[in-house]
Amino acid sequence: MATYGWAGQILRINLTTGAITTEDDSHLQKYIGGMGMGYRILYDEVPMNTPPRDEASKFFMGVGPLTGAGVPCSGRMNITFLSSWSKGHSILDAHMGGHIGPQLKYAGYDGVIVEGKSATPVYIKIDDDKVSIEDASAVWGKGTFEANKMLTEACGRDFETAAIGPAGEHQVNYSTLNTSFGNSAGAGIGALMGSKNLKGIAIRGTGSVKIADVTELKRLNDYMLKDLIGANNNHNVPAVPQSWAEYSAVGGKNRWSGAPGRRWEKAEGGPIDMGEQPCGDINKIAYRTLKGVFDYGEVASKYIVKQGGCSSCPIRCYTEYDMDPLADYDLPTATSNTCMPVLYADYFYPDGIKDFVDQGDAKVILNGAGSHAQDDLGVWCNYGNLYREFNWLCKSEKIKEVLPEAEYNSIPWEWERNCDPRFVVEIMRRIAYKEGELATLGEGTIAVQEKWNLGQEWMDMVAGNNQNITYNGYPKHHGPEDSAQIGMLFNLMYNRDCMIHHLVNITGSGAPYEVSKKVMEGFFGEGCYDNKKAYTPMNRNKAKVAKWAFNGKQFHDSGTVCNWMWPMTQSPSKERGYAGDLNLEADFMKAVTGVDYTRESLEFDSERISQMLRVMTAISFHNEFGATELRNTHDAIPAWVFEKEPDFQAFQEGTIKLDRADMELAKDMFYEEMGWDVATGIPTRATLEKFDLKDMADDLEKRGILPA
Amino acid sequence: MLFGRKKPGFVKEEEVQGGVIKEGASASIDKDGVITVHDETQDGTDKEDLLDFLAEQPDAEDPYAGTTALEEAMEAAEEALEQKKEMTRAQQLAQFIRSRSQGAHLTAYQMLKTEDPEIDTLLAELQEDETCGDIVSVKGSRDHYYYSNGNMSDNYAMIAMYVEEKDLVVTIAQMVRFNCKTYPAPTPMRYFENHPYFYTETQIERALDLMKEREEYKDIRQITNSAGVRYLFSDTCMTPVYAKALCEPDEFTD
Repeated sequence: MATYGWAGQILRINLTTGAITTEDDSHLQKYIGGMGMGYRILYDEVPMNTPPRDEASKFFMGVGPLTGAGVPCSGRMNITFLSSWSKGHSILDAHMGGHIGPQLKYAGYDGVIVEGKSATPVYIKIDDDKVSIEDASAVWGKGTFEANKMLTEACGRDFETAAIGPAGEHQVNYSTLNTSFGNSAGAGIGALMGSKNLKGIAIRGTGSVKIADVTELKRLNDYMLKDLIGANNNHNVPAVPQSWAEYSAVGGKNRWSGAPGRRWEKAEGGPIDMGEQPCGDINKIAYRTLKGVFDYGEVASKYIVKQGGCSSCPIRCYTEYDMDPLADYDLPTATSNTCMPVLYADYFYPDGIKDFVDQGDAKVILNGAGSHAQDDLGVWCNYGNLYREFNWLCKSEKIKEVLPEAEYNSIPWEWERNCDPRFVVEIMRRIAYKEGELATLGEGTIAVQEKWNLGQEWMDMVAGNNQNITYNGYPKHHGPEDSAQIGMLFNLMYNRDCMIHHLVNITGSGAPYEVSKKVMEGFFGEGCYDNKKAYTPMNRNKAKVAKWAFNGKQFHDSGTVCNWMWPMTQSPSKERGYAGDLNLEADFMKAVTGVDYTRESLEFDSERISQMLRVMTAISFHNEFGATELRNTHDAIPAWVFEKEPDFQAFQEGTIKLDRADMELAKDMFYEEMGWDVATGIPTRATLEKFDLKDMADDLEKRGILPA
Repeated sequence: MLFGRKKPGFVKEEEVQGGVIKEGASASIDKDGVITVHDETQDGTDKEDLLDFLAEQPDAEDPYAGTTALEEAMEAAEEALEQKKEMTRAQQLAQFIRSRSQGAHLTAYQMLKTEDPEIDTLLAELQEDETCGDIVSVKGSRDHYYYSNGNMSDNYAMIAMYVEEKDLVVTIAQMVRFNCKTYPAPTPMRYFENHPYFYTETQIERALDLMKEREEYKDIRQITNSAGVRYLFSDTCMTPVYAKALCEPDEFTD
């Protein structure tokens, strides 16, 4: 039933039978949307031991009550499915920005369940209430850019589209679903869609989101934009001094990188200077983030056309480039991405990189080539593990051992030595098309470890850019280096990299430590917030912060709002003492849905999603390994976390290494905060029943893994 | 139907039939494949020039006449002028300082003195005037500089003062100490290449050479991180070990 905020129904599309139906989703609204609805649906409909790419496997593409409602930074969409590459093959999510999520909402749906398998290549066309499965045989085989263009031409310019690339079609575990703009959902959703012969989706929605209190929504918007929002990652002080600001990020490495003298050099009509962007001046927010300069330094400006971004977001974190040096190699010059694909292409050049035209431009140009290829082929990087593992393979010379000689010799190494941008494109192509032994890299970190007999020590090693934060096949995503035990804890919780930015948004903001500390201790109490590389032993308030960040992420992927921006923990406003407003998410939920949300009640609903995640993880580890506990299996921490920087002891000023015993204490405290059994790390019956998840408690009991 | 979706007319779709020739016309194709359409329905007169046609049209009525941005700005300027007439000279001076602060400029006492020999009297009046409470000053080694703390932050005024005095040795040393103490953070040398310093690499190197020769700057130390980026820190505020750790690039960012 339609209510404020929620569209009130979900679509179900069966690719085997062609059946397309709608279902009332009122009973799912307590799970908020997106991730929360996805977990409930998959738990109910897809047994956790289902092979991830079996015809019986399903995925849920979901948005939430705030998506498309006009709330700042609410253009996200979440996709829930079973992992094909991480240990346990458990539940996980892919996430994407852009404009397609809001279109789904405007078409009148809170989500789409896709099930079954088509006999031939197809795409899903959603035109408000006209939903169809269309022939995609002409699009199959195309890269995502061409595929999206063809879908747009077939459906109309006002459709938003997303497509998988060759990696998805070839069922490469590291594969994505991409929009025409380069927004991508990863984690292997491309392969799942490919296994169902589903090339993409095109959506046009001409409706709207019904708002309970329009006046309040407008007031909250104005308040957020004027007093709370900063730049990308909600960094609250500028990277270089501006006359209105008391503070700036001394290291210069912060995302409020727009500054006087910094320009979009290739802007249409001539260069545009970013100037100053004072707090409160809402018309200049979009000039605050000059992501290209954050990524590469001033040298990037030469190729910047403008900053783009997602629906309802004033931040614009996607730098759009025109890199003419790439034309010399017959590679596309127009490129845009804001995340990992545009940062680490140099990892494909283990012999080092050379500049093209200007000093320091090698990274810019190589990443332009690499990110375009990666997006077009629809390859996922597992938050950089793909790059790190290729780099390690070359530097350790293991590549000569694991690749057949003929394959090794077929790799155009002269391009690597000459810093030719076609080298990264060629490596990506081989991975996307599953060509040769090298393509094992695209099957995932666990596949690499097992197939090449690398053993546990490979994930324990201190060297080689090893970032594996568990033994489950994914790296840390802002962990101990930003927030010690807190970051470590929430990095342990998922079945992929955690993608939680609650803490790095504060530690990386560039604000003075004492300023941020006062803000954080105002919210969570004394001792909750350490200075960077000057960590203190674990305490209860740190556990509370970890819980807040963990549950908060679930809200963001269910609401849906962007976790790179939310929550509004800090503010650029001196008058506010640089404190943000942690009630704002609940205030927006109340204004949009009319439900009387408070910060506490919203955190409770978000925690319900965390509990479901934990239950499903426990079931899959039990199914796959017979594990009766998660603490020492799923949540085990590799040795490098404790053994790096041998010249330091943990808690000494200058190190980010952690202490084993202290980290065990951190787990104790966190499990207690979450209502989990301390010995096993599995939710107790009392906890699950508190969240109205009695059926899951019964299920755990039946399997013999419910804590006594 | 939910939420009034499918509003009539929201999306207009027109079907275009390529290759269809209208009634009364014919087409021929030459050996190169070029198609020529012969339309007998046209009356043979030349098509009217668009610009000529538009020039003949009467001017459209501007429904927003009187409320253009330019006119609004002009009205505001006139209003400001009227207000200025009613201001005391001290208030006018305050307004002048405010406008310069808004443009990220300090207002130097010596410059005011050159403009108006009676400036001391005006400044004394300004300090007594409650409406000018936002006008404050920062003292450099060569001059006093006025600014509005409503338009410029105190820390930026300090930076702007150093920039104004053009003593790079003092500027670099003092800002390195300030950053070490306040954030705490070592300062990359390229920090001084950005707004509002805009020093060149050569200027910075020269200043550092001079600094080495003077006892009062012996706390300022240089450090190079693993990526080859050079930093400065004050060893009175930060240990070398901690400074080195903070200089290192972030492991992975995004």
